[in-house]
Amino acid sequence: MTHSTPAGETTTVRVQCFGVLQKVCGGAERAVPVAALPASVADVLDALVREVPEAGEYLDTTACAIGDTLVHRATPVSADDTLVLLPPVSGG
Amino acid sequence: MTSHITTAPIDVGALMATTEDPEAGALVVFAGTVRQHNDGKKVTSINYSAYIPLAEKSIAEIAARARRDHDIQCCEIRHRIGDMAVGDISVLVVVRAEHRGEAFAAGRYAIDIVKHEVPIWKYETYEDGTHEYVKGCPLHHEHPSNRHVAHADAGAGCSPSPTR
Repeated sequence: MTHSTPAGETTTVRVQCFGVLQKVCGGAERAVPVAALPASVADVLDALVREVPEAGEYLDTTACAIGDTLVHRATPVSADDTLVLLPPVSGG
Repeated sequence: MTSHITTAPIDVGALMATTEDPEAGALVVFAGTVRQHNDGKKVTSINYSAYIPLAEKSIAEIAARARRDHDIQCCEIRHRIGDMAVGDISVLVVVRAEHRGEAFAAGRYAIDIVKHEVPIWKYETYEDGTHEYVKGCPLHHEHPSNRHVAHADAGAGCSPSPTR
């Protein structure tokens, strides 16, 4: 479902962080304010960097997912989505 | 549905038993264990975390690709998360095939891809009291800077993608 945001209001997108980003962002989940919804993944990441400038250096190597699917930077994010940030992986 | 990610210790014997196959003449088992030293520092404890929805899907796909691309009977993969001690098994790959060549190849393929494609993170605590997330491999997506670059230290968990 896609919600639109009336002009002048701000809304938030739920962001879930893993790995080093959890440390940098000070927790696993945060609500990131965006100007309007739907926003693109890139818009949400830009908004996150405004909130947490230290996160910026990690985002170039961070993949994003919604549910169990990796998403592109241009993918729209709706109010019901949680954008999951996946920095470089080190399992094994 | 099989759960590939577990917080409990990985039961090697159980996985060997459930994959028994009289048609298989080769059994290859790879276990990754928690190492005491990393990058010259003594590791005192380790924690693995995962984004489980995608990690489960990724591991299932890797096992399916191993079966599709190699002449094997089965490929089972398990990864443990949570706190672990030095020597504990963090990841296990079990492959059974008619012959050893395909079993070795499929096992190597599976563990290499697990290290590249599964959203799991290793957090190490060292003897000197410091701790950090281990440098890893970027997951692929369209961002240009996210193209895979092999780390200088392949042993750190990120080596060039195997072609087969």
